[in-house]
Amino acid sequence: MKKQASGVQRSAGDGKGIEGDSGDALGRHDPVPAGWSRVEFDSFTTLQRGKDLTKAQFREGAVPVAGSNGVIGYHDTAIAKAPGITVGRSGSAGKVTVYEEDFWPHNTSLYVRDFHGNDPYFAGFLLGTLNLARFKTGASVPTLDRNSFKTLPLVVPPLPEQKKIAHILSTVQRAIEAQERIIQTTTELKKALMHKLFTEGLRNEPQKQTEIGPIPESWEVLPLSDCAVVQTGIAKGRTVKEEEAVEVPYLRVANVQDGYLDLSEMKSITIRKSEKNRFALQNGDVVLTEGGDFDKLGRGFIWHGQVDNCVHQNHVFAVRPDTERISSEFFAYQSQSPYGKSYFLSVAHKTTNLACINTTKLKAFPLLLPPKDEQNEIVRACRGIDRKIGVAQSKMKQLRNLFHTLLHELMTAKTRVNELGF
Amino acid sequence: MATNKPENAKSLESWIWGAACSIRGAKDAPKYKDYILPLIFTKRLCDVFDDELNRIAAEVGSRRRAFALAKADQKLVRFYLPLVPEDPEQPVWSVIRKLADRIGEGVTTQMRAIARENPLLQGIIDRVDFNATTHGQRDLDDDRLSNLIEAISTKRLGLDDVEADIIGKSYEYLIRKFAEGGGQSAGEFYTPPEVGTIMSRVLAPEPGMEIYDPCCGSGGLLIKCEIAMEEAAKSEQPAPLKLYGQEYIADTWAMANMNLIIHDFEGEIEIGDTFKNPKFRRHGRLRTFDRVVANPMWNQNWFTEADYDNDELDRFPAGAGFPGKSSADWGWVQHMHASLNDKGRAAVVLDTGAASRGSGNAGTNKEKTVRQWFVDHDLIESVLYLPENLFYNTTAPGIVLFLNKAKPAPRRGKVFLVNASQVFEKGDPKNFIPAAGIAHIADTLIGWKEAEKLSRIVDHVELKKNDYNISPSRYIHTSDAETYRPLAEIVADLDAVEADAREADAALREILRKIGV
Repeated sequence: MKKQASGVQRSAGDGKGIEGDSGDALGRHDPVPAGWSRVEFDSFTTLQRGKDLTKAQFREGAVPVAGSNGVIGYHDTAIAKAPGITVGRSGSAGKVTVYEEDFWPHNTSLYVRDFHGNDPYFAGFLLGTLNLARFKTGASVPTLDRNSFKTLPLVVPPLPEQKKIAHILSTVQRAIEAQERIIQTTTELKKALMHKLFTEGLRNEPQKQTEIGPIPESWEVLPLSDCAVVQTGIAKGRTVKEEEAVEVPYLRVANVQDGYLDLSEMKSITIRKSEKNRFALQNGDVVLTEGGDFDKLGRGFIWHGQVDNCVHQNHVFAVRPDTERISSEFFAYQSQSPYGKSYFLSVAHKTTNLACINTTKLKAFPLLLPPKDEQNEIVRACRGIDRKIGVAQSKMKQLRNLFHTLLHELMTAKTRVNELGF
Repeated sequence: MATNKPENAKSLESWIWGAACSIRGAKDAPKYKDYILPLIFTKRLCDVFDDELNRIAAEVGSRRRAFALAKADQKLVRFYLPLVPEDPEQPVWSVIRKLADRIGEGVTTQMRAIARENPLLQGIIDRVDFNATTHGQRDLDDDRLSNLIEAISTKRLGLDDVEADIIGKSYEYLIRKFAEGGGQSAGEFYTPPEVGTIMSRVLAPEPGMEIYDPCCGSGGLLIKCEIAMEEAAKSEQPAPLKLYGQEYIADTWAMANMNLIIHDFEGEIEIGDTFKNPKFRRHGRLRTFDRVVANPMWNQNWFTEADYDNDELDRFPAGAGFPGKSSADWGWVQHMHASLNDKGRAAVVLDTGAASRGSGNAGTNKEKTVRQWFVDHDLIESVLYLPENLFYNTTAPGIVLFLNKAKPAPRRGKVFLVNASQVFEKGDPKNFIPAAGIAHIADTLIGWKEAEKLSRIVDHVELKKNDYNISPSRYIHTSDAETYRPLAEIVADLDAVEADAREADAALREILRKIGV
């Protein structure tokens, strides 16, 4: 199998698969498919507890140290051969990880000492379906005792079929990982591109000095309040007289994500009828979050009127741009650009890991104002890159669905591949 | 007599602070600084006097005769103290220690007696009334005063016990502790030692030079210059610097005097408002010095245009004299410049705004005009931008401006800017610059060494283009703001990843075809 650039280990499942008796893997009560055989867990793969290695004992090297949830550091000596599998013992109990390089299993994990001639990759996929987490015991730090599932009955195919199944599933995984990396690289590209667009523009113009630094000559810098209206939202928990009450959907911080709106769960709030217009979101408003964790500061995107009569919470600002001067999209992109984010962070009221901006600061946002046609070009560039990320995301989602279906089909012998040649 | 040698300066520092806290604990110690400082100072005088008496006694036979001799010929000792214990074998300090009742009155009387004999100490140790009352209530009652005296008595501070530099260092330490506890007002008498060290190392005073601080506070910057000179000097015993200072606030002026004497440094500290009435003059003109250092209070707004225009000392050049009413920062720079001799160099701590105010404005700005005058006359050698939260009375970062009246030829037409905003460690209550950082900043400034995110040589053409903004933060960006890989590199990565994806997709499609999907 090809090594992945992203790392030497891969997750084979979160250990929360479906129960061995009735789910993705065949169990005690299932008939045995032709050519497959019944075995107990321990004679399929024998687990052993990893070896302790304190942080102080780590010596500089390239050997991954396998903790319960993956690599926890590097050391100079390996005690387990690749390909190998670890199962989280304490901490992320039940988590299955495959290693494609010699490694040091840490004592917080179990590792397969003996594959008994089975294909290690197949074993990795199979263990991932067994939901081993269900065997963990203990209250504060639940741990997994390998003896508690030693005799778990399994039904497994012969080695050639194991190899084919593993090959198919690995191929899907490789396609998923490729999409992940496309998303990652495109996101980096977006950031770097936005940084360039919002400092140099697209015209390769000479720069001029302003109080916020050098900007292209044809650009202006204006406080946001000169080009937009900032509407504050409604606070929760007010009492409203019944005769004037009206229930409307409202947009919360959780709905406002970085560069998109997640409207999968909309809550509603009771307000006075007379306030409906005051707090209503309008098509084209840019909704921005007030803060919270550093990453939640000033994130937002455009409201396209997806939900009728929607208002917004007081922790979400609605910025209504004067479209004569600036388009909603241009402001939305500018606010999520490194330029915008660094402004919000610099003026935010900060406490440990929490940051928050107020209306005054938002109104004072020094808006970079290129000519309208350049604004549109910048928006087109950003939108193009967003679309690319979106395509990769939906493709990844489809591939994940495919993986789950195939895993189920292949592990339960609904789809047989023993006859096929790869 | 028991000798009580301190193991090192550290223990003396903690002892001296411990003694200061004996009045009402650490929290209140700074409030009583005007009692504590003269008393410790007097203890040192007493113990040194004891040592000198013993030396004389060894020659003349007895301490009793030594006392008499010293009284008859006061030149035999550095400071003659009219404190004679009943039993001449007892230490001089015992006169103060044995005061049993009406201690406040007794201490005040003795201090005044000392000052009467020593014109150098007049107004310095006799200015505080230990017996002072507010509305009938003693400011420092006898019990607490007695505790303080006892605490101070536990260590001997004679010539054989502590060297001048060690007691001096501890005295500075005490002043620093008072500054930390003193809040807002502390900035008036104390500049953080890191800043003083950097300033003095860069100014590189040479043995015998004359150094001047027009707003000297407790004298810390002058003392730092002497220390820097001694460290750099090649000979064992370099000719000491001559230190000159002027201070407006009487208590602080007294502090500076005691500080200098306890360090055993040569100097003259005058009292009064330097801006309106500088005391150091010669032939009706301003006296000039080899080096000038200062940390004037930032943005003083109490001088009017008339104060500048009517100056009889030609400190403020025509057309570029009055820097505006709101900040006298550049007025102080002008005063310092006028106090320099032909080869003189100066270092001054200013508000960050002094480097940038007025630049980029459409109209004319008086402060910018003054700054421009200094740039155009090629007097500015370098500007250092300090980390924030270093000074005792503000969290603002501050800058140090270095002037040189005789810039070496290769440096003419250029200014060296250093942005040290990231060179600090977090401290409580104030940030500080670690020793390695001090050395690094000083070396960078001395050698004009350019370094990424730290320093740059900027020529006058560029300064002019930026409308005479000389703030290092304007030219050197240190922010750890995300750095971006070149776009081309990211795009190349993306191409590679997409090729991988196509390959994986093709392999997958082939498999699915075989399975029959």
